[in-house]
This record gives sequence, C-alpha cells and structure tokens, in this order.
Amino acid sequence: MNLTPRDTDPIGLPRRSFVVASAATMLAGLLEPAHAEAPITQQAAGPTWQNWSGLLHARPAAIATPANEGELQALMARSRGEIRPVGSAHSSSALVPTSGTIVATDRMSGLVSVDRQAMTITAHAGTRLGTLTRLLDAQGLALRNLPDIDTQTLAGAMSTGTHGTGAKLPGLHADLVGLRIVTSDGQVIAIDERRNSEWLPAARVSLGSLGLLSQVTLRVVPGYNLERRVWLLPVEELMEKAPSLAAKHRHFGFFYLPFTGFAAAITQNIYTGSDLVSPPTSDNAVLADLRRMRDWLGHFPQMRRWLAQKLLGQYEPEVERERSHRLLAQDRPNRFNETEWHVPAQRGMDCLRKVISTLEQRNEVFWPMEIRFIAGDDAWLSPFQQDSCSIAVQAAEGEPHDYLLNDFTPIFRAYGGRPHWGKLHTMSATELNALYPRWSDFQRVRHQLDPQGRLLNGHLRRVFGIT
Amino acid sequence: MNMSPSIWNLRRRLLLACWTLLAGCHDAPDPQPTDADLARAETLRPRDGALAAKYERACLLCHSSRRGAPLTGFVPAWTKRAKQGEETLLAHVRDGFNGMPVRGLCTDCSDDELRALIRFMSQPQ
Repeated sequence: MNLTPRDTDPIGLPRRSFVVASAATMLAGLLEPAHAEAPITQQAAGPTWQNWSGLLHARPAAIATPANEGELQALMARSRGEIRPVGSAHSSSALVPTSGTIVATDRMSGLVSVDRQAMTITAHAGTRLGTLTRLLDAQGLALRNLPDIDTQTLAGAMSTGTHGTGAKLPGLHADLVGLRIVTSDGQVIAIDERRNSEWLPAARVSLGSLGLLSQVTLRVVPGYNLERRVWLLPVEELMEKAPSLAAKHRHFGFFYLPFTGFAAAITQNIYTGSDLVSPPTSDNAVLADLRRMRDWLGHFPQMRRWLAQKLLGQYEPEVERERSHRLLAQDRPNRFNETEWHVPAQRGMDCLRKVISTLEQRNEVFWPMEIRFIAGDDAWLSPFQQDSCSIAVQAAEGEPHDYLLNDFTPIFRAYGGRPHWGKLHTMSATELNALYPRWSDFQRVRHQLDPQGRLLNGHLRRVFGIT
Repeated sequence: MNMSPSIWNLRRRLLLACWTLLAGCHDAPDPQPTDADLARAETLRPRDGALAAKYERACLLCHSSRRGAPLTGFVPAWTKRAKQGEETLLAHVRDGFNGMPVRGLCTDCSDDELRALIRFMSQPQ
C-alpha cells in the first residue's frame, strides 16, 4: 500500500498545524443572574465561579461586571472586603478565587484611541486579545507578538506575564507603555513615562495586586502576514538544532509528543506576498489519536513508540500563510491543567532532556509538551528578566496532575527556572524573593497602593508571604 | 538493523492493523465551511444591538473562524448539535463543554440571552 500522508494521515496528524498541545481556547465566564446592567449582581444561592479547566472553584459574595472605569471606581470605593479581578479565567494558579467580590472586566472592551505617530494604541483593559487584534488589523496595525491563544483579556495577559514565542520578542507586557488602574479605595491612577513612572516596572506584571486595570496603552506595529512551517523530526535532532532555529526565525517553538521520540517544529516569519493560504485544521483528531495510542498501548511503551515512529515518519511538512493574528493564536478545544516554567535560554535544552526522561517514566502521559523562546525584559515581576526557554507540561482535564508539581518543580528549580504566574506552582515567597532582584521593591509599591491588602486572596498572600 | 522478511511482514501487518483501527475510531468530523462561509460569518450580527455587542465581545472570536467551534450561520456544523435540543445546548454554554468556556465568556448574559445567541448562531441567516 502506498501511503500518502497528506491524503491518508494514518493517525490523523495535522494537515495544517501541529499545535495540538495546549488545549482549551477559552476561558471562563462567570455565573450571574439576568440583571446585565447592574455593576454588582448576586444570586439567591450565591454566585459560583470556576476557571476554564474546571480545577478552581469559588463561591464569591458577588460577581461584579462594571461597564466602564467610572463604574469600576464606584464599585471599588463602596465595596468591602477582598476583591479579585478576572479576565478570561484561564489561569490554573489560584489568582482569582475569593469569598469576596470577583470583578469581571469583559464589559470594558474596545479601542479607546490610536496614536499613529507614536505607534501606540489605548484599549479598555477587558478587551480580549483576539478582539483587539481584529480591531487593529482593520486599521492596518498589529501586536508585535501574541500568545498561542488569544481569548485572554489585556488585563489578564499583562498581569500574569503572558507570552508568545520568539527569541527576540519579549512578553506582551514589555510593549505596555502606560496604564490606568483603579486602586482598592477607588482612586484612578495613570502610570506611564510621564506620570507615576516609578511605578511602571511594577505595574507591567502585577498579578492584579496594585489595582484593577481599566485601560492599557501598548506599542503596536504595522499589520503583517506570516508564513508558518510545521514539520516533524526526532526530538534529539530538534533539540540540537533548537538554538540556531530560535536565532534564525522570528518565531520558533515546538511540541514534543511523549512516547514517540518525535517533535513538531513550528517556525513563523514575516511574509510579504499576498497568496495567503489557510487550510482546515485537524488538531482535535491529532490529540484524540495521541490519547488513543496511550489508552491502547500505554502498558507497552516500546510498542507505542515503535508504532508512533512508523506512522509519524510519513508526515509531510506543511505551510500556511495568513495575517499574523490568525496564525499566532490557534484553537485549543481541549481543557488541561498545566505547569510552565521559564529557564535561562542557554539551559533550556538540557532542562528539557531531564523533563522528558522524567515524564516518560509515566506510561499514562500522552499530552504534548510545549517549548517556546522569549526575550528578556525588565519588569520587576517578569519571569523573563533574561532570555528564556519556556517549557510547559500539561495533563488532560480530569486526569491526575499532581505529578506536574511533584515531579517537575525540583527539575525546573535546579535549572534556575521561574514559574509562569498563571500556571500551577507551589513557590513560596522566600523562594521567589531569591529569584526576583526587585521583589521587595514590588512589595513596597503594592503596600503603597493597596495598604489594606484588599486585592490579596489566599493564594497571593502565600505567594507574597503576607500573613 | 537486520530483520528477516517474515518478521518485517508481520510488523507491517501490525502497523496496518493499528492504523486501520485508529482511523476507524475517529468521530465523524464536522462539515468544513468554505472560505465564503467564513467571510460571511465575519459579517453576521444579531439584529438586537445589545445582543450584538455581547456577541461581538464573547462569541465572535471562536464562532467566526476555523477554530473548531461551529461557525455562525453555517447550518451543517450545527445540525448534530441542534438534535440535542436547545436546553442541552444552553446547559453546555452555562456550564462549559469541551472548548466552550463557562457561560461562553459572557459574564453578563442571562440564560434568555444565551438562548437567543444559540438560535442566532445555529440558524440560517
């Protein structure tokens, strides 16, 4: 039989892209009754909240949905007790859960202004990245980079150090040049290079602990097309090539497919042609097939690896050309829990080898690992204060995930890693203090802007070491 | 690696059997929209202005692209879902289901508004 991978696709490998790994696009909404205009709403049995993966749950006293900065200001001034913001509820770490008030910013959405001379835009902080990039594209503008999903709000993405991939491209927060926050006592404070500039490096990544973001001002670039190439190769070969691929391409990242020995490499570069092509995706089928191979051959890792290699060896490279925002962010239709760490770039592949060997001691694993590259920046709580390699280990929703912390935390720590603020981690304030040179400076600003600690929930109190 | 022909044939048979089994277990894929369907979905909005605003900030991102969510106004993608009944679809939105986030990312949508959005997206426009 003459197998033609693009036609027969033996295990459903991607006809378009191999971004199978991370799943779940989307994020959470919040349960709320029908009074859409009310800034604060309550249900008879009390509102409930959960994050998108379903791991985190809360029964807050109220879920508020302010429509604008004025409503947010009034809410902060008159409410009592703990307040936590939520964007798209994508974080696996417990940044949101509170028994006080959860403030959802999704009604505060849209562009405020465009400054073409400065090449900056100002947007309401609840604007989802995907919404913003559509609005920008209509004006011939774009963000310099995007994470691999785009349903996060600007506020959530900035506050957690959200990032894409590109060895010369920093996290999104590095393009933040100004913001407006509403503090816990209802004051509106502008922070930019002219006003309160000393707070800017603290406010770029703040975990929502300085105030609630109402507007952000970002650097933008002229709109652009990308060409995306995806190909499979043995993971050892790819790890050898990874530093040079990261240096050569605007965007480079890859997925390792556990128990296959193969990885899917993805490069994306500026494309100046107009012949855009965007074939349908079969990512869902890929993930289902990896799971199926685990289900059937999980007890026979050698056979699983042999079969996978026979089938994956047939795969043809793929090419896609599209507007940048349509390629950088993709569909993640399956939910998962995740830990993600950022290690110094030069130690990334050594760390990855250790992570893979540890991961493959568990025959139940099937979910691909995602590896990305991020340029350093100087925000005080940025996990990328040096050029970094990001390694994400994920487990399907509903499957055991304790090992994500137990098995991998010691490895990542040994390689000088910093955890993603929005992903699972158990780092203490003492440990974090040792990793972040401006940790105590950040705490000073935080205490200055929120002296009563109303923006701290249990998770943040532990992370910040506040009793 | 030296392998006898008989062993190699056995391996090929095993590979083929596994492949056939794997391929046969795929769920029927959703019908794929054309570029014209996608372009049309980008332009569709609920007639009610307030509902359209909620649709734009909560639903549009995933339901007007090739992201796996059923495309707005592309009835073939909705047919098997519609067979489950509106209350089931509402429950999937309200509670989250597969890629659908809890409450469809619309924090301030009432159940009636979610029903209206489901009808808008799933019916011919």
